[in-house]
Amino acid sequence: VGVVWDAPGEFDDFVRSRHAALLRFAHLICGDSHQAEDLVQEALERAGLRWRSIRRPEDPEPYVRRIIVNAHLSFARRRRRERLVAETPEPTAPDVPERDEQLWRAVAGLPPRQRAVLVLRYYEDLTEAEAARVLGCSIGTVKSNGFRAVAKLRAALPAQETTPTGGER
Amino acid sequence: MTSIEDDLRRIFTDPRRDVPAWPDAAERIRSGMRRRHRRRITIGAASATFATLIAVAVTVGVVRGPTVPNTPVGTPSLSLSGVGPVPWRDILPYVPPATQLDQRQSASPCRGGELSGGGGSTGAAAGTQFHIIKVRNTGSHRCTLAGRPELLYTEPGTGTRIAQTSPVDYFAAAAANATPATIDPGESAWLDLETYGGCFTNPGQAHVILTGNVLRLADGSVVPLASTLDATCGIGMSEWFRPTPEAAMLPWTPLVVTITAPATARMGQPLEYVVTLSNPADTPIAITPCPNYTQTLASQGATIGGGVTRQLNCVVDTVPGRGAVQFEMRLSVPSGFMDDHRVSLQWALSFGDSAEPMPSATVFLTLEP
Repeated sequence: VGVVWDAPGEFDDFVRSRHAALLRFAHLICGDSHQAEDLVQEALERAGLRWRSIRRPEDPEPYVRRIIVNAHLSFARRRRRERLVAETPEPTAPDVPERDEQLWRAVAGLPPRQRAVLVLRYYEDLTEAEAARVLGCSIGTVKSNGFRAVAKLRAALPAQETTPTGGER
Repeated sequence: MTSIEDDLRRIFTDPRRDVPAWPDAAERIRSGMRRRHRRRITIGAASATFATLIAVAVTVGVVRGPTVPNTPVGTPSLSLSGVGPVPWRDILPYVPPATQLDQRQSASPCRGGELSGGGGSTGAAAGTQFHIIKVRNTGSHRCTLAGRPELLYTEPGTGTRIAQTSPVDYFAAAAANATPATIDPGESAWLDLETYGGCFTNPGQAHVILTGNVLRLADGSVVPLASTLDATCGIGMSEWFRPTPEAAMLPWTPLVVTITAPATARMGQPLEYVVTLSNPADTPIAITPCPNYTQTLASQGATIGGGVTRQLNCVVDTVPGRGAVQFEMRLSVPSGFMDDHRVSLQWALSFGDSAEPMPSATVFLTLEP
């Protein structure tokens, strides 16, 4: 006999159809495929237990992504004090151009909040205001984190680009 | 030439960075939800007693009102009737041996005439209201209550209707051989009815209240349920199950919990507060077997740092009739928490996998850096 709380079969459909995209999103947010699985597991469990309250007003996926982002930022803050050794680097993806690999590693080296801003802005295509709502911070904080992140990436990569950073859409 | 923004869009969408999908995604998440649900039940079940025949007192006020203060109560009051609280001691939780009920072959179905109400209990955890329905075999031979009865209610103007219910199995699955409920004369079968909160999309949403509720058994007889059921967010129903002996004998489940805690706590610092166990009855209530308790900080329904379970310092083993005993409590507040600084502090008695809803209370605190 299955256990049913707030989540009907519709929730299972959501999990099956969207978990792969959520895994990818979490991977971008945290930079680690194993931690991404933990984040998605946590977010979906929490969403499932509140399914009836989150599915009606709007698409539940933004809610789940917000849990993923905040859980990662919270985790990163806790772990900052505990980290004694360097991160184990993610294995290099096969056949990735060198510049892309350099950029990936540079993004991985950003502080979690700066990284999250980049993912929300350039993967999710959120506006600065939307990203601020997800992160629970001000638009100014999103702007400053995005600006610093891009500046660090520019400094970390060989000179190549000429296009200036875009502003709020 | 490309901009860094374009480069970012490209690497973020590069399929070579995909994390492999899960072949069993839905079951994997359901399994995790079961674990969370069980933790919530363990840490969060509140109780209030009721004495009427199979009376299911379902109003929120009964479940939450007198036992769960909604606001923190300033500085702890350290005495009651001139007696100080029992000091806090860090005692590892008692783990009762795994329950294995004796194997029983199914007997003939129990009939309404052989059953009587033996009372019940209600509790709440994480927005879920539990109503444990108890019926006793008053006949002269062993009988079996199997599966789930129908829940009937009365709809004004159209008469009796069958309510939709969803299967739940936590309590019934807590012990081996608990279902079906094959009970000897004098023994009770239990059933868990659950109603839920958390499905509201606006504050003015009307509740769906079921009245005239009865459980219809396989032989057509009915067990009346007093009061009403709030079906706004659905109703869950377990199978009839046989409770473990421990669940049937815990004398302290009628105790009422009150938390007296400071309005604010500091992250990374111990939180000290006082729990009061009050006896609403005239006769003394024994605090034996000595229960465990779980204290949990949670934000938006998610536990912060995991619940902490310890055994109560049972140097006082009885709560006098209409009296109370206070216990000092201590909890380490995690640091680095950043979601929402408004958190709930839940405190609940517990004992193994008992099916009985446990006394508990919740207050709200503000965490400060």
